[in-house]
Amino acid sequence: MLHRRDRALAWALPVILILVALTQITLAHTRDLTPWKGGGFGMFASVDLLSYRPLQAEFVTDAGPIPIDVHDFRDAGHRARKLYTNARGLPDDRRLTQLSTLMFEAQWTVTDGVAEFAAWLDDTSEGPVVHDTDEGGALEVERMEMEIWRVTYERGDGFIIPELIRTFAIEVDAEEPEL
Amino acid sequence: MTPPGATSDDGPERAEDGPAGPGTGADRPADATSAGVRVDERPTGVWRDRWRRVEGWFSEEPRELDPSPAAHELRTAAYLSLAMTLVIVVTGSPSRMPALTPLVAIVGLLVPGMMRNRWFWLALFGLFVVSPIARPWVQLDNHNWLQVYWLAAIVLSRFAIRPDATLRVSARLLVGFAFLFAVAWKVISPDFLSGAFFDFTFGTDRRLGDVAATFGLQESSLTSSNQRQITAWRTPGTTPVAEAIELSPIMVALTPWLAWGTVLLEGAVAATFLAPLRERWRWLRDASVVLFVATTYPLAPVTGFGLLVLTMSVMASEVKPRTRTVVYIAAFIFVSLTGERDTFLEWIEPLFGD
Repeated sequence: MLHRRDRALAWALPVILILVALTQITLAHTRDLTPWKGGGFGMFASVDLLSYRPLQAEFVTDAGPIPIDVHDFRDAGHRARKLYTNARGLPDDRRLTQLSTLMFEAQWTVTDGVAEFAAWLDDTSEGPVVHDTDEGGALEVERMEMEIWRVTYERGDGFIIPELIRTFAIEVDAEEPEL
Repeated sequence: MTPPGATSDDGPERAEDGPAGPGTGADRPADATSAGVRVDERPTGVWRDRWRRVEGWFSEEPRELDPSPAAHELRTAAYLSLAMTLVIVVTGSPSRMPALTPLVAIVGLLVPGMMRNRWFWLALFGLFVVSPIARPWVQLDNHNWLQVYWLAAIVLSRFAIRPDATLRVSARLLVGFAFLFAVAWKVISPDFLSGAFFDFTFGTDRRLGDVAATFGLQESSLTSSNQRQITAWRTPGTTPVAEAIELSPIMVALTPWLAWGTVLLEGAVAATFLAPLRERWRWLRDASVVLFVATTYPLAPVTGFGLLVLTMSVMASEVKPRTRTVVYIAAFIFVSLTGERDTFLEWIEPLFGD
């Protein structure tokens, strides 16, 4: 038998593993954390992969809704990639707000009806700035809306079925000066 | 099998890895035997004194090592496991890991006695943990968590009265609980036991699909065309809609068996590592892990997790030292080679193709 102190040292990390794994299972079932991530050993158990969680977003502007190429936005920098992945992995208010706030700090161009990342704004209080290259001129953004989906699969009929797991909307601060 | 003398599940009673304190060990006879068991396999001859002198600067093992078979068995397990851990750190190189980390691990492998030094492991843990901490926890894979647990367990064990016996218990529990939760997820998941997960994965994941295609069980282009359907859901302005994916009827027939086989195998690892087995049945732990590795990694070459499981399992293993060394080094090389699996599949594909 081990000495009491040694036994405590031996059990310390297994106990942490158990606590993290139980937390991960709880979050996966209550807050849509992807089973594949978060330390719960749920890899290769579910079709709900993080990489198969599409995030659809659009600016609601004075000219109507403009879809955003968010998947392309992740290449705008390390922070963009991190927040984009976080928001899909655990789509809660905090992570979606963080991603939205970052997207508001960018300048976007609308080409063929889709808003694409153009550059980071020097003055983030301006944002988001959306230029419509199709019609010309700037669009006034009222709010941004997001949807996060996951894939489900029913055995037998061979269909992959998208399931909407989260919708999110954030208003652009009306008190910000218009340029 | 466990050699005579190994007693409790926590390891031998004797203070074979007892109180820390540097010592040269220069006066201890090399290759001394006790009851026919080789107890000191360190270099002999001219190099012996030089080796031990350097070892004495860093090692915190007692000057006189316990020569009993049980102590020898535990000590060799620890040497092998700690060396495998350092090899993983040297070769693994997670993203954003400080460049110094592999160099420190190499020092641990090359400098005698360094692997037995608590401050070395504390420094290595401090350097290694930077990488997973730099990434959000939501994005970390299982093996990232397990790597941190394992290195932390090594550090804690170095501060124990009996470091190796303490680490053996940690290793056994970490492997056991990791597999227990892996099985729990598979049982509670609505996708797994029905075979739906493997249907989907063979149809969309190239890593598994390529193996099935090599053996002529499904079309090689199937995974990429199915994947395109899912990734099309990302197209801006699209509302995702249900799509039929193409599956191989042969694989659909096989996948429920594959699912149940996976659960039984992973369940066997969890059960043997967590159950307080009698001494004569502890070889089942090694058998279940080796069977898991041999059947899983040719299919899903996730080498990071496989190598780590072997590294922890060798510490928990109580079979004869020589058998253990051969089996685990062979398994370690086997899992490493699965990273080059695609080349092997290309070689054998003509044997099974049309």
